[in-house]
Formats: sequence, C-alpha cells, structure tokens
Amino acid sequence: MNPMPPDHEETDEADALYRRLSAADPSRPDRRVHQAILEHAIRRCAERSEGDARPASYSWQHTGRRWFRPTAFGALAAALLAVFLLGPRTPRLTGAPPAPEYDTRAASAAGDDGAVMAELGTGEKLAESPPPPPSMLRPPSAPREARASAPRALEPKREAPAPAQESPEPELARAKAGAQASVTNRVTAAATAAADSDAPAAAPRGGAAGAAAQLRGAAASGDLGMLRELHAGGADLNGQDAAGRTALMIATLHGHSAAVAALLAYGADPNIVDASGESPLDAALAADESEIISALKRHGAR
Amino acid sequence: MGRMLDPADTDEVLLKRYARGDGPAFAILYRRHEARIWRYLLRNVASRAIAEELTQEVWFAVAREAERYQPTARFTTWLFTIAHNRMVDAARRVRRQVSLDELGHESAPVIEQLTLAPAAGPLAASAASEEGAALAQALAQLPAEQREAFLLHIEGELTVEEVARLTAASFETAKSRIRYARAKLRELLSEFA
Repeated sequence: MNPMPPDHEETDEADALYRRLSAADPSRPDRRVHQAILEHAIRRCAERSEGDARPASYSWQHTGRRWFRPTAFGALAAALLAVFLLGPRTPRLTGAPPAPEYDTRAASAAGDDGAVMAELGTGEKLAESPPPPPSMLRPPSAPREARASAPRALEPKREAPAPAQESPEPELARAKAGAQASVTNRVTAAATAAADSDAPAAAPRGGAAGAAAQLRGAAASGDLGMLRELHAGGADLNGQDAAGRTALMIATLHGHSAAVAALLAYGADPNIVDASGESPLDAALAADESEIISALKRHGAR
Repeated sequence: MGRMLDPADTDEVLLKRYARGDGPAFAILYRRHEARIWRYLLRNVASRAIAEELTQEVWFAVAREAERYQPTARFTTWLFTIAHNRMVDAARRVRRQVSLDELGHESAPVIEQLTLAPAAGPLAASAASEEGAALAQALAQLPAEQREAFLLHIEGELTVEEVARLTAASFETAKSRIRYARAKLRELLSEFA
C-alpha cells in the first residue's frame, strides 16, 4: 500500500542493525511505572464494569419506574378480578403484591450537596472494607440513585464525550491545538503524589504538616476512611506539598472521584493551584474525568 | 460470557476485550508493546524521567480510550499516534517554558525543543550495553525529524504514509527523513555492522 523507497538492501541493513543493537539494550521503565500503568488499567476496567452493571442495578430504581406502571396496573387488575370473583368471601383487598417502593431518600438527595453527603454517609461501610481498587470505593447507592432520576442516569459513566482522543486524527488535532494541560506536569504530579502516599509512613507524623501530608497520602490512595479520620482530627484540608498540590488536587490526579467528593464536602478549596498554576479543574479537564469535573464545578471550581 | 482469553489474540481483539471489562487482556497488550513504546519515547526525548512520564501517560490514555477505539487502523498505529501526540504535548510545554523563561522566541521545531537537553550523554550512560550506548549516541546525532520518522517507522511499524500524516509532512518528506536516518545510522554504527 505504502511501499518504502526502493532501497531494500539499505533498508534491511539499517533496520537489522537497529534491531540487533536494540536487542542488546533491554532498558525498560522503572517498576513503579509498570505498576502505575497496570493499576490504572485495572481501575478503569473496574469502573467500566461498574458502568456496565449499572443499568441492571438501577432496574429497581430507575428502569423500575418503567415497569412500575404495567406491573402495578396488572396487579391492580388481577386484584379487582379476584374481588369480583371472590368478593363475598374476601371482603378486603389484601392480595395485591406491593408496588416497588421509590427511594424518597434518593430522590431528595438529588441536590448536589445532598448527594455528596449521602455519598459520604454510605462511604463509611466501603471505606472500612479492605483494599478494593480505588474506583470501587465509590459508594454505589445514594448518589447513583439520585442521579438515576436525572435524564442522563442510564448513560454509562464513561460515555461522556471526549472526542479529542477518539481516533488518531482528533488526537493529532488536539495535540496541534495545544489546548490540553501539560501531560508532563500531570504525570509528574501523579507520580509524586503516589510518592506522597508513601511519605507519611516514613515521615514523622506529628504536627499539622504531618497530618496534612497524611491527608494527601490518603487522597492519593483514595482511602475514604482515612480521609474522614484525618479530617475529624483537624488535618488541614488545603495543605500543599512541595509542588503546591493539595489533597484535592492529588485525588483529582489519581481519578479518585469519591475522595474528591469527600474533600469537597469537607470544605476543601477547589481553586488552589499548584506551583505550575494548574488547578484541580484543569487537571480533571485534562484527564477527562467527567464526574470529578462536575463535582468541582458544583463546588465553585474555576 | 465470551470465550476464554487467548494470548494469541490480535491486538485489536485484546483491546476490545479490555474495553468490555476483561482486565487481563490489557496486561497482555501492554506486555506485547511496552518495549516498543518505551524505546520510541526514550530515544526521542531528553531523559529517562521524561520517557517514563510519557510512557505512563500513553498507557493511561490507552486504558481510558479503549472503548472509543475503532479498528479502522491497526492498534499499533493508534498506539504510536497517541505516543507521538503525548510527546508533542510535552514538547509544547517545554517550549512554552523555555520560550518564556529564556529564549523569548520559538524557532526550533517542536520535537527539537523536547530534546534541548543533551540526549546522547545521559541515555548512552544509562544503556545496559556498549551496543545500546552506541545506538543511543547515534540516534541522538540525528536531526529530530529524522529520528522521529525513523522510530515511528521501525518501532511503530507505521507506513511512510502514516508517518507523513502523523508528522504533518508530505509523503516524500517523510520518506526522505527515514532514508536519511537509515543512512546516517549505518554510517555511525558501521563498526557494529
């Protein structure tokens, strides 16, 4: 289709030389890079599976509203028929199956802050369970249910459009536009944030700075239970590391939407920028984290 | 459920499986191509640290965008397009910083900006063998456009036309860059031939 220039011998020679010398240099990225990549892939996969499973789990709540009418109508008709046939022997209508309840708590939690608080409330149980993938820490009940009543609730989570990276051409166009926040900075930040998560174990834990560092570590790992404890203990929510990153920024960089929601609900400032001038919203936009973007905007991120 | 995962599955099948929630499919895909992406990035940029950052970002993007991949192009073409674009993004940031902080102008090509730091020294020093060091030295002596085109072609197995499209060059230009790169490498690495 696209033949190379007709210097096949040169081609073979140069390419073979390159390959032979390459083979003699088995350089690879650091092990931590491998680990970060595979963990990220697993997390994405879990989120995807969660998204796929959502319609089924929503059937009770959301799609239930679709089958509610025919089912209830059918039950009512059956009951009336029973009354008609057995009326003299069955004075009260008691045999109709109960219609599915609608979770009024979820409906009332449709407000943003309510949803976040509900999320935190249900997050307690999840945070206590040991080491699930961070994405799995996202509480499934109240906020999901609340969202289920919104028009887009049945859309899988990752269907939010990000056309810029859909195919090579848009990808190139995006790169040419140069509009995306810095990849290098983001990845460096993520890597450093990961290091932050290790730091508290080695560093002295006393004092406000220690608590703030622990908070950033918890944000990096998406540990909601630890976040709650540290917040209850008075840790500075807006403490910044050497690169100016807050716990909120670190949770954003790691894609921990539940941790982001928690920090925002606790009162973390969403507009503190890091040393390079990047805000959590910038980072979320760059990573196309639609859920985090929404949460940040709801809390006044600019 | 679908059939069991087969390590012999094509890249496209593996990516599709991953997009449908089959996590191990990604691991196979990653192991299959990690070395090529790594070599492509490492040999194009200024330092191992930058290459590691970009490597991570490329695979993050693969995981993120797996659902949207359309098998109209080979997976490797898609993968190296992402890698190239991530590198251009990083280069633009470097260029902005350098431009603002020091140069005050933007004269060099994007990829050249990314390699403002001497690539040959550190990379050669980090190479695990004499051959690896020589190769790093030789690649570092190539003009950035030639090196990029050659590496896309040999590591990504992109066709000349794909290289041209990705690097916003004409077909003839891309072909020439690859040809010059080969000639230069043969000359510089003659002792290993």
